[in-house]
Parts: sequence; C-alpha cells; structure tokens
Amino acid sequence: MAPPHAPPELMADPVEEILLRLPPGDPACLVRASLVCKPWCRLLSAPSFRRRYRAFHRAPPLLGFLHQHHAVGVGNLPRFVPTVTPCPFPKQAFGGCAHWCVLDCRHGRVLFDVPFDSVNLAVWEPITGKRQQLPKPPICLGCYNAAVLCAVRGCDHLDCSGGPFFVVLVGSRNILGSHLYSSEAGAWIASADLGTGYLGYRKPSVLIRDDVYFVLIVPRNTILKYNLGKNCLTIIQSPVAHDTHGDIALMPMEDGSLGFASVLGSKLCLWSWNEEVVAGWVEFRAIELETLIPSSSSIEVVGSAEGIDVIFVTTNVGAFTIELKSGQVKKVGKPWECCTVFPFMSFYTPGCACSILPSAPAEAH
Amino acid sequence: MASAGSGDEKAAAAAMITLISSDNEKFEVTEATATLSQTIRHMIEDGCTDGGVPLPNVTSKILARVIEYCKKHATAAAGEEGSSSSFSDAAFLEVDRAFLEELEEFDDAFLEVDRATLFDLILAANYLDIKGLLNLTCQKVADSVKGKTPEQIREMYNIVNDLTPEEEAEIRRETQWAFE
Repeated sequence: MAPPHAPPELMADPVEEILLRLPPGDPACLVRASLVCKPWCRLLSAPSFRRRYRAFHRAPPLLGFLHQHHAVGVGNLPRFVPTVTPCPFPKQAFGGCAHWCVLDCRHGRVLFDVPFDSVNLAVWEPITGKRQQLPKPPICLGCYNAAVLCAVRGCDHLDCSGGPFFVVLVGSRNILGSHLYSSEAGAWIASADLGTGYLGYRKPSVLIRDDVYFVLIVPRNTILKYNLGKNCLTIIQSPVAHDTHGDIALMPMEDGSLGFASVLGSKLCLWSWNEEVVAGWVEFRAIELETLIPSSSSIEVVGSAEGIDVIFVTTNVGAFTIELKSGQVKKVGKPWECCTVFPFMSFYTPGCACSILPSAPAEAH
Repeated sequence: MASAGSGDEKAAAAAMITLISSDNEKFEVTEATATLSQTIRHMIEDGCTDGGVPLPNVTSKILARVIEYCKKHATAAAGEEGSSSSFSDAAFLEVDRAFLEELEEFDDAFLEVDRATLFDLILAANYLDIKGLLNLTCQKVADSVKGKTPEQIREMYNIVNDLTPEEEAEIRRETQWAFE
C-alpha cells in the first residue's frame, strides 16, 4: 500500500514543465503565475525559461497590429490595436509621434518613417524599448518603402530582439533602386538599381528566406523581389487572371513559396508563386467570405501575418483576422479604420519590460 | 499488439521486462510498452534490466497507471505502423483518424484523477522520461492555471505565498497592463 498522501505539492522540475505549457497568446497568465510565489517568479523571469518557452512554442503569437490612424487636431500617427487582452504593448506608445509613419514590423522591431527634411528612418523594439535612428540614406524624398529584418544568419527569430538588423529601402525618383542598411556596420552598405518605369507602394513587405518582396503601384500590383545574398532586384508580375480592383497582400506560403492574397467578388483568393514547374502563379485556394463574415461587403485585404497564416481584411462591418488553417474569424477593428496593417507578433515572458517609444528625435538608445 | 510482423519482430516485441515499484510490486510488461520510457530504453540498451528494473521513485499505484498509459500508446503506435502498409491511402487515413480519436478518448479518461495522483503521474513521467505522458499531464495542470488569479492558483495547489508585499507590489507595478 502506498503511504497516505500529504497535500499535493508541486516540485521545481515539473513546475517548469507545467509553466512552459501556459499559452503564449495570453501573456497575462504568465504574469499572474509569477505572482504565485518566489520560486515561480524566479523560474518565469529566468533567461533559461524564456529561451525554453520560445523554443517550445515555436511561432510567436499575434499580440496585435499597427496601422496609421488619423487623429483630429494631430494628424496621422501610428496606432496599436491589441488582438489579445490584456496586452503588454504599451498603450501610450505613440503619444509623441505625430506624422510618424509605420513602414514595417518584423522580428520584434518596428520601422518608422519620421518626418524630416530628408528621408529619416528609425527602428524601435517595443519589448526592449531600444530605439535607433538610421543615418541618412542615399536617396531623396520621393516615393519609397522599406523593410526591417534580423541580420543574424540562420536565426530562428524567436528571441532576436536587441541583436543586429538590416533595413532594405526601395525608392524611386527616376530609377527604382534599393539600399541596404546594416546596424552592425552602422551604415548603408549596398545598393542595386532596377530601371525606370517603376513606382513603389507603401504596402507591407514579406520576407521569405533571403528574399524581401515589395508591392509596386506602377506597374500596378507588380512585385519587386530583393535578394539579400546577391543584392539584386527582380520583377514578378501579379497573377494574370487577377482583376485588380482591390488591395492585395503578400504572404509566405507553407511550402516556402510567395503567396498573393486578394479579394475577387466575395471570395478571398490565394495564389502561390511556382518557380520550378510553371514559372508562374498557381491558384491555391478560394475562401467564400459571405459565410465567414456575414453581411459584409466592400471587402479588402489589408495585411497578412508572416508565419502564422493569418490574413487581415477590412469590410463595411469591421476589420477581421482570418486564420487560414482553421477558418476562424475574429473581429479586430471598426469598419474603414485601417487600410494597411502591420501585425505585431512577439513572445512575452515576465522580465520583459515593454516600453513606450521615446519621442525625442534623432537620439540613439 | 505483439501478434503482427515477422518472427524476429515478434520475438523482440514479446521480450518481457520486469518493473519493480517502490513498494516492491513486480509488473511484467513487453519491451515495446516499457521503451516508451526513455529512461528504461537506455537501461535496456545498456543491458542492465536482468532481474528487473527497480523504480524507487514510483509507487505501485502510480506505476500501474503509467503502464496502462504506455500499453495503450504502444499498441496505437504498433497499429499505425501495421496499417500503413496494408491499406490504401484513404483507408489508412480513416484508420489513422479512428486511432487518434480513440487515443484522445483514452487520454481524456486517463486524466480523470485527483490532483495528488496527477502530480504523482507528472513526477513519474518526468523521472521515467515518457514525453507523451509528461506533455499530457503537464498540459492538464497548465490548462487549470491559465484563467486563474494568483490567489486561486495558490489555493488550488496548496502553495504558500512567500513574496513580500513589497515584491508583489513591484511586480504588479511593472506589469500593470496584465491586471487591466
């Protein structure tokens, strides 16, 4: 016979195993657990737990999205809309950022276009509070877009905030070209030219392996591919059958190819770029939105979340996320509120201190 | 479970291991069942299972439950291997789904235990290094924690709060967002 049990008591090792399984999509439950007792608090705040937690869950959860918002009397400024509540993203983050414009958000970093008399870019990490002003890029004010990405080769991007990053800037006056910034070098280190007749568009870029894809507005919905390793630019036409009446979003497909999402009639259509077999677009999936989002019309695709197969759409009845795998739909915003969204995906474990954006200009932290 | 396969496989699958609980009860199990535990697998590989495997950290009551889990999951694994070669893809998927559903039902029923038993199962799964069982039992506790306040968690799991009021206040101040 087993001896009678004392009241259940959790021991250190299994406690870590249990806390590892708390859901990343509900960051507040980790905070509440850290208030249970000293051992739990120590365990949850330890860097080793942070590493294990990220490795265990693999994909960072969607905490919300950034978009440009028009505030009466202030003008345009960035705004964060949480998709989880409570959310660690600081509420007053953009208080002093009138006229700042979000260009990209990736690997825990946000890239801004800061108003100035020349092109002026800044990178901010909401989770660490680090902000860095980039030196003046070698282009003039005009039409440009940019992407930010972790610069560590082979990184799994689970915990790379604070590390080195690249910024890829594409812009055109007469000739469309790209410029690569390296935070390690602290300088713009490479350039490439494509030619004339192209115009960039401020739509979110997408990163697939070593390639960054941008959307161009001239020719309409053409895609510009920048290869980091080779520092070269190429053009990909949008799906030919696409009747270009609405907005589009680029996304990485599960097989590592480039995806293209747009709304045709009442359907969300996805194409996949097939390099090897057809050297063209293959219609991958069409999702009927009438049933997913009842009484919606004027549907537009406004963004996609890299790596978690989520598409953002805006409609007359609100903004929604659509999980492509499960078909799950969630309302995340009001109608007509946002025309481009930049998803913010990040792990949060106790000990990370989310901080507001320091608004003092041109100051590196 | 041990009835399919060639002669050699049959012999391997039918090889029996004796597990000895902390209260000296002996359990005869097949090697296929026992090797769901990485700890026992290593012992078998090192050839140190003759005369039985003593498990001084596991009581007979818990070991019986652990073996019940391993038997079911070892059978499922063997069934899946067997079916992959003898069914068409569609039929295989059907069988696969049926297996998974059955396993899920088994796991749900398996977890219907009191908290003391659940913790003992976690400790045993951790000690014996049985990944599936550790995941199953830890997830069950994590699910019970996630919607709860610190006070409720302490009460549920009999944990003494040794944080000073100052420490608690500091954590709450730094993570105010989590309580809004």
